[in-house]
Amino acid sequence: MGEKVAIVGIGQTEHRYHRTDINAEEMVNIAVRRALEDAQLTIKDIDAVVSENMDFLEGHYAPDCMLVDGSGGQMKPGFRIQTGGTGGGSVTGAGCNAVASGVFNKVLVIAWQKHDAVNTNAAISATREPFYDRFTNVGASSLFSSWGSRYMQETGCPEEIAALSRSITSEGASRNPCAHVRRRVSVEEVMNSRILVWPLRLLHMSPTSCGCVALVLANGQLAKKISKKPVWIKDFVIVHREQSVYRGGAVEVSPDKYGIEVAVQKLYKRNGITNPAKEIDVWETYTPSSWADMPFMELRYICEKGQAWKLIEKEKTRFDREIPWNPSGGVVCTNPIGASGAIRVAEAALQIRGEAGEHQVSKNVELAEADAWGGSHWSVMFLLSKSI
Amino acid sequence: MLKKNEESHSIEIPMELEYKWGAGPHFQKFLKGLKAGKILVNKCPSCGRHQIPPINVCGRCRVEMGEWEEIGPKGTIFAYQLVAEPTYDAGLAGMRDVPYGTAHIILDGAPDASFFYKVNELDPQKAKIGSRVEAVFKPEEERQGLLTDIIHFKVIEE
Repeated sequence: MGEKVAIVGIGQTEHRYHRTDINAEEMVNIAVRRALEDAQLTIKDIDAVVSENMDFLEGHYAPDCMLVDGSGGQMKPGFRIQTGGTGGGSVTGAGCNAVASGVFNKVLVIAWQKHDAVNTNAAISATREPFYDRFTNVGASSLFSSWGSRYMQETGCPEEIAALSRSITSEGASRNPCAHVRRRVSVEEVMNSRILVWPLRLLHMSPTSCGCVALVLANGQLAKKISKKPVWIKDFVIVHREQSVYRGGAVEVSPDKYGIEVAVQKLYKRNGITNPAKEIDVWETYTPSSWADMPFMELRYICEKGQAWKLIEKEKTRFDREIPWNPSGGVVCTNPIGASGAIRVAEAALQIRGEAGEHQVSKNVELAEADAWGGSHWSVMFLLSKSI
Repeated sequence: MLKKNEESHSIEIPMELEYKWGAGPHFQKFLKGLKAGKILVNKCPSCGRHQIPPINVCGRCRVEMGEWEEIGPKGTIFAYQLVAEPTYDAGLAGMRDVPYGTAHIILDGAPDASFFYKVNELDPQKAKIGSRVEAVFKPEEERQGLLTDIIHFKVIEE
């Protein structure tokens, strides 16, 4: 990277199932105001506004143009990015590049989704590849169910472990005022929730949420002046590969790697990370289902292959334990899809600042991983740090 | 934000749009293959992998794809799912009847790619990793050059 880049302002809405009390522009405006207030800046200080939204879920064209007043983008340069589930990560990366390049000093990054306009599952299915995918696509739940059934058969992991993981995550969510599904759930409740696609149950799967997150990014010199606690974007990696079901396999058959694995390897190598479980203090990952927790931990080399379920069994993934895994409650409790990747970055940054409130992890956080995933098998992976 | 007890005003607008897409020469060959009761895919001359469905290039090796091969109709289950929740079928524009099974299937002749489709088996114990399956095609006169020319895969004993 060129210029150093830091997060100096963070704002998000309280993410909820329906927000018919406000429209999209008003929802975005809430997060923007909060991020600017947090940075103690005004919109006049911002050089460019970049945003993200999956417009096919909103049902209207060019949402970034429509809400330019609410976003603060009026008469400023900017653009919108849409890369599906990774969108929140992609736009944060694009904002980071815009500052790192030296073109802009202060960039406002906005990622949002309003899921109350349409049936999300139908909208996703209806916009997939027309000749192959539309006839077979069941939505994301089918993919995680595949991973679940294979993981159980290959590792001996009992069905209850994914339920335990969901229960552990619910504690973080219950402590996070911005989380959508904040209810504490027990293993029994998860196991008794209805089956969507066996072995995946309703409570194993993320909800559809309405929400917006905004981040103010600034170059190194300014960041130190603006903020007492700048959170540095130490590095990030973007990896794209072909669709999941499309062309080859949702579950990995060929010797080709998952996008996550490629991103992780690059990120660790560039930053000299050899023992991620010890060196990375907190994880905010784009994990939309509790059945993805185990493979996602293993793909990040937190443990050996086939061993992640044992870490969950020992509850080491709790927000107050050794491997704080999505202490905010994660995507499985809050999923305004296009915003979710950027919410991970925001939550990891709050942990570094020590300002995550009731869901602040008990460890001292120097280094955090935050990422966006989707697309599918696309990956945007960040390392955030307290010092540079 | 609205005041407490103030009603929110929403409007509902159904949309009906018709789209038409061109399949392209490679995908077209695959779809015409289905009409003939065959699963035809192409193979990368560099890494040897098969593409389901096919296009002109291998994204991994960045080379033009090579020869065509007929694969299946038998295969082996790689992962099975039992779908219990009705979902929207965007191909046929309606909700799907549940329950039904789906699977990622490794077709004979293409060990490096999976074919995702319906399996007429509702018992996960009978459709495990390694279970053998075979494609069941519609009668020839009913086939349209669509993915749905395959009715489903059935579990077979071998």
